[in-house]
Amino acid sequence: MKYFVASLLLLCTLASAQAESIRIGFIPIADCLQLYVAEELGYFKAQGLVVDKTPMNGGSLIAMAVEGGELDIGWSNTASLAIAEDRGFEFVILSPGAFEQDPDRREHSLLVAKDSPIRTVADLKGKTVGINALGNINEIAVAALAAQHGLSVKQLRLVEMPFPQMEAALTSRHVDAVLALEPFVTIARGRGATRVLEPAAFKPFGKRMLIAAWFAKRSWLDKHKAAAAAFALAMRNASAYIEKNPAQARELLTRHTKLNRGLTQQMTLPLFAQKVEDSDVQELINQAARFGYLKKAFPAQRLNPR
Amino acid sequence: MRRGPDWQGLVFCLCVALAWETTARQELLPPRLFPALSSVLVQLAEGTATGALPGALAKTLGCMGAGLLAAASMIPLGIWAGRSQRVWPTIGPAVEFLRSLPPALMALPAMLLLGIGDAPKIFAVFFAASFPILLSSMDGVRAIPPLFLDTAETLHIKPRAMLFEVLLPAAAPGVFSGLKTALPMAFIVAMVSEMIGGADGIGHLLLRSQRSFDIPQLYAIILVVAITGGIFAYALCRIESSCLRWYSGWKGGAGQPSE
Repeated sequence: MKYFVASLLLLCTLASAQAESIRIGFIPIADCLQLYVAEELGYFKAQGLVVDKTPMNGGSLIAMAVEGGELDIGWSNTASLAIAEDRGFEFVILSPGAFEQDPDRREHSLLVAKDSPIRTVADLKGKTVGINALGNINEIAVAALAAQHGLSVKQLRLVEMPFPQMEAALTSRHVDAVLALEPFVTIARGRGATRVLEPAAFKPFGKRMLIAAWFAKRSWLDKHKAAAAAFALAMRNASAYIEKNPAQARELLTRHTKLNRGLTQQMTLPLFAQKVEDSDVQELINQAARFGYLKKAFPAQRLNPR
Repeated sequence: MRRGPDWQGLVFCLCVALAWETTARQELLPPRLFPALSSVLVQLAEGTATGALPGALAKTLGCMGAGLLAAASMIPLGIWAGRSQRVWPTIGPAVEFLRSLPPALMALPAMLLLGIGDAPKIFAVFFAASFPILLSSMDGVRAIPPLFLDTAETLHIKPRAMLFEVLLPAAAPGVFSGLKTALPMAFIVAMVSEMIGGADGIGHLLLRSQRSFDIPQLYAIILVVAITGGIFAYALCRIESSCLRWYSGWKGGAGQPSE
């Protein structure tokens, strides 16, 4: 009996001493650099977190898995989070992800084939434009750019294609323009087969804006406040590390993505800021509402509670 | 042949609908990922009223129709293959190899070669629908009772009449069974092509609903697809039974060779 009680006690202490395990969904690209840094440099461990990370194909799949409870924390572009909020999902930002900052941290550009007759965005009327996912931040960027040139997004044909396939789709004339992301902008420029039509594709969203964020369900956050705070701190440390040690961060990127070393040295990295301000998100929400992707604009604070 | 009373099927459908509604209302599944049937029906009505759903469906059916029309060229080829001793040994191995490919797979190479637009969709549908039509037309001809052909030959029937009055009607049951396989397959392939690299159609709309968290619309589209598929199956059955009236009367009756 004594042994039984003792082993029961031991089990209990083991269970409570066991670090909290969180399941994270991400996309294995440069924008998720914080995750690789936090893991490699032990920032999660320092916070008592055990992280179980699952690479996934797209932001909307991650969001569905977070909603269904298979993942605790996911990574998504900010526009999709806003659209989900508009449809009654209750996601909240735990930590900022990557920021786009004009002009030094430009990650997204609109490209056309080098010998394309298209000279300005206005020439895209009736043309096919490749984006990585329908109805996400990139589609809204295309809608906003089109509007600046007097076009409606309905006058374009939007087609979904993965970033790595965009250059080939342009050169084989299957699409007329693509909204590309780093490092594919650098790759395409290096090969000389494409031309930049609009270098700052995210400019309509403001000078500095939040591209993507780490998020969870509000109900998960309410039950796991400590873990969420620990996660946010680990990510903030990772952001600080990346900004202070860009060379080492680029090395980590080579190890965690399929990008080669030359490319990770050359490509433009997004900005990893310590804190997300409402102003980093609000203009995107406003633009999304303006072009009908949201029923109504709402204050950024609803996504970004502090 | 008498069919059972139709109300049984209707009651079962209502039970399934009720189970859906209850499961969703009791939130047995994540409620935002599994909305109630009633809200899906509201979405369906809205989508129909705005023209978004019918427009997308028309686009898909247009491509599917074009692909099927192209695949109908397999009917004469199948009839020829069924009559000739040489055609099948020549094309058979290649056909057997190609038809073992899952048709939805062809949507990808079709996109690489033909780009984005209607052409790859039409090609993928043609590819998917061709094989069942070819093979069952051929089998249809081979299954014609020798008595029919012998009688026709004894009467010195002209080749033209042989084709249109003997071969085609007698092979029709086979051709129809091929169409019954080809039609749903063509529908599937048309939608899959729209999901990978399409800019319009019902498959594209389905993908967009998922991407933009419009879950009720996603289920509404699935309902539209199910209803459309049901209408196809029903229509084909009606056309078949009116075209093959002679066949259902004759089947297994007198005229079978006794040996």
